[in-house]
Amino acid sequence: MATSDVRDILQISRPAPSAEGTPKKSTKPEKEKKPGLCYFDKEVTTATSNSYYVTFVDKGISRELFQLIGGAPPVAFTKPTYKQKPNLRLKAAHWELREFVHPGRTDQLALLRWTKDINSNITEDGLQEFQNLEVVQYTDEEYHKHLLDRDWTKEETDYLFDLYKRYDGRFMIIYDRYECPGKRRTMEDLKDRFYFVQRKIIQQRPGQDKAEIAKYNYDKNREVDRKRNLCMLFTRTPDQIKEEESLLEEYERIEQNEKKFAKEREALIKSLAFQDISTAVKRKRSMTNGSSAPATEIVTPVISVPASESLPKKSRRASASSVGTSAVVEAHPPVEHVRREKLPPGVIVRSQKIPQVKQGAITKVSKYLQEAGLGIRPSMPTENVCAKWIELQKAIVSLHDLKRHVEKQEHELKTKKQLLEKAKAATGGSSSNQNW
Amino acid sequence: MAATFGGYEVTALVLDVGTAWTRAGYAGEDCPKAVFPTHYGYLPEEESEDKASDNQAADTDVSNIKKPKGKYYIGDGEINLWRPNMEVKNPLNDGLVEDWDALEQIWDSALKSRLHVDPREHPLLVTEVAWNTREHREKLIELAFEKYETPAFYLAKNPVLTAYASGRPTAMILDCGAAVTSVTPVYDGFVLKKGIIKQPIAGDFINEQIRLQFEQLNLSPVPQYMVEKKNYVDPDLPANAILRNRPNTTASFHKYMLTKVIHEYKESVCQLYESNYNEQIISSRPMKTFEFPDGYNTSFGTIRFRAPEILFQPSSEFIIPSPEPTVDTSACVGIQHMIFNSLVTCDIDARPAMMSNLIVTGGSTLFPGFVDRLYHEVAPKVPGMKVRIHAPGNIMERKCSSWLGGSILASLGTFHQLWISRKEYQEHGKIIVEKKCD
Repeated sequence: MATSDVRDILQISRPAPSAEGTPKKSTKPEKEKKPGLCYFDKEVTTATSNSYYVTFVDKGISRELFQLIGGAPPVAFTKPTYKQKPNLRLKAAHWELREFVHPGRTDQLALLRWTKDINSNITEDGLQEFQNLEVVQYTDEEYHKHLLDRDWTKEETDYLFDLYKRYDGRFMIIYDRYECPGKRRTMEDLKDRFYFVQRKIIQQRPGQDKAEIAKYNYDKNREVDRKRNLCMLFTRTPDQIKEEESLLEEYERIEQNEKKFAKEREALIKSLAFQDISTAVKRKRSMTNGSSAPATEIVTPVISVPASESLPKKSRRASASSVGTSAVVEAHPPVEHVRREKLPPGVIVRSQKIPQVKQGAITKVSKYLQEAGLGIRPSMPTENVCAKWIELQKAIVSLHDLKRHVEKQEHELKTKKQLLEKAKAATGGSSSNQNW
Repeated sequence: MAATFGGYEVTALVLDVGTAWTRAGYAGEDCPKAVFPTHYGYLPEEESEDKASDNQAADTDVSNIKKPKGKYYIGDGEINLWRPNMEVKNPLNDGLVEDWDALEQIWDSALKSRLHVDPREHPLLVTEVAWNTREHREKLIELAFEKYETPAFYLAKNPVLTAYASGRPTAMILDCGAAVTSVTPVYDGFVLKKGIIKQPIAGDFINEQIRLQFEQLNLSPVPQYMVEKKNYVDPDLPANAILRNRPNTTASFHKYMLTKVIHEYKESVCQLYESNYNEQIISSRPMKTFEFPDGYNTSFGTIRFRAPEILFQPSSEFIIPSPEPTVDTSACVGIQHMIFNSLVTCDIDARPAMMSNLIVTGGSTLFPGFVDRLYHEVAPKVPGMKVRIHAPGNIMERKCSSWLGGSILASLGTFHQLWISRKEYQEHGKIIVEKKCD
């Protein structure tokens, strides 16, 4: 928003034009000079703002306007800029058509170029020459000595080298332009021949740096194989690509699972080792104490844990062996299924595996067990005993439930009977009333 | 501008003579100064001269070009003006120059009456089709040095220049112009000649097909030159126009003017369906109305999708057999197959680069939906590769991409050592063009 607009809104009379023009001219350049880095900055800016302040007051600007601009220079106060007037008094720059010769040319072709400053030489920016490729060239003698080949004549080798130089070693184009009557060369043939010649010459020439040979190593068979494989990749159908992608995904998933298993197994083994040590210590202690019963109770389940682990391990191995076949897709879900059933890590006593009875029924169940002369847990938790124990527990629970149910039903029956009798009595009474 | 891309301007001229349009301008600029049709009007000087002697005149030696027998009319303003007995011709066939006298007239017109330059002062870069023959190239360099006496000359291939124009040295160029559709692989700024695939199904052929479609619909468009005054009529009602009496109109002029109407119809109405052609879905697309020069106007539905479809399916389903066929379409395949066939000729190592730099150029690629359709067709053919299509959105850029590439090339500092200089030409003769321009 220009100051003139503000003036119009506030109906302030226009100040003298000189008042606006001169102070800005004097202050603006100073502000722009601000270097921005030196410590001196602050002083400079405050000085300029003060001068702003002073100049405006001095020039007698009305108070309202002064309040708008007053104090520190307002943030949004920008000097209106106009399009710069062309300086018509300046002499037109002199442009001249001047000849120059490209440094890369051999024929001194003089091209014309418009240049502004006559005195300066034509700059050579952007006039780089093309770099010629280094090629080790063989002589006739060398060719006949070392480079004879049943398949390649000297003319053809010469032709190949010509093309190589012409196209700066771009074999893609050399192969495209290669036309030798009666011969069909593949790109690998050409490369093989060229690099062979290069290697041979470097090897044979006394003055050559032997380390250069490494630059020209070329294994034709490997290249052919590589390209054949690439071509096979190229000719895949969309279905094949999709299948491949899904297989890859599957493979990744399996690998991740494998890692997880390995980690868990490691953790298990570690804790087992720890348990072994601790049980050994305990056993020693119990042996000194003389009572062997609790020790056996702890030791026996330790052996059973790896046995229970063997199942998932087996199925995992089966799935790993079938990677790459379509069977993986079906083989995989069971792996996860088994995993979900997995026991918590650490050592478990088999008797712990016996499902807990409902909280409310614990005392009742233990009562029944006591009646039968048994403890809360089986004293010898072999597999068979445990299974029987679970059965027994279940039977007790259901027996208990049934008993309660029967009691409830009987109670209900009783109350119902009473209600019925009452009702009968009432109906009997009412009917007698009707008779009345 | 020169400083921004490392250019080094030498006031070179770039001249691109295509089948439909000729573009001429200064190197380093972003669009040609002069664009005019390559078609030219030709009026034999004496009316009594019969056709036989006319042909003789055209057949005379190139050295005898100083005195053209007839009068040439070149440029939009000239050729569209009706003149009795004026023939309209095109000097190119299949992208190659056939009528050298006319080509010279076109060069004259471009350099002298449009750019107003003295060719002796400016290096000249001329474009050519990728399949240009040795004889044609030699003739071109001869023309430049002998007749126009340019200080330096260069002949560059269209696909290479198109690749330069989009800043990619390695690319697959699909150029669908007026006379020829071509697919050319360019590697590191060189055309891979074994991969050039071309066929004559392009803009002109589609124009012809649309004309046949109109015939089937019993539409007979009246070219602009015959209409004196047209009146508004409601859609599908017969035209109400006053026609001019134009005696002695040549068949070629009438055909040219008719093609102009069809061309306009093609540009404003025709469209490509973005995915597999399905008439049922297409019929639900909105119709488009077109008004012919005589005021007759009607709406076009599925038919506006049929003609461009030929580019992708040149089968008898879409091609209407012509009573006097101009091109043989029996061996033609869809654009997507051309691209694939060309790709297969390239080395396996170059193929991914080619497919990720598929450049689309030429006026016939400006059909709405062309690029979408092309992607839809090409991508499944090369399932393992990433296909990226580069189609400049700017119409001028799409139509003049080879001129633009020439403009960039001829203003590069490094390029100036590639010019064939006058001295080199005098030393080696015209064979130097084969050696230096590749």
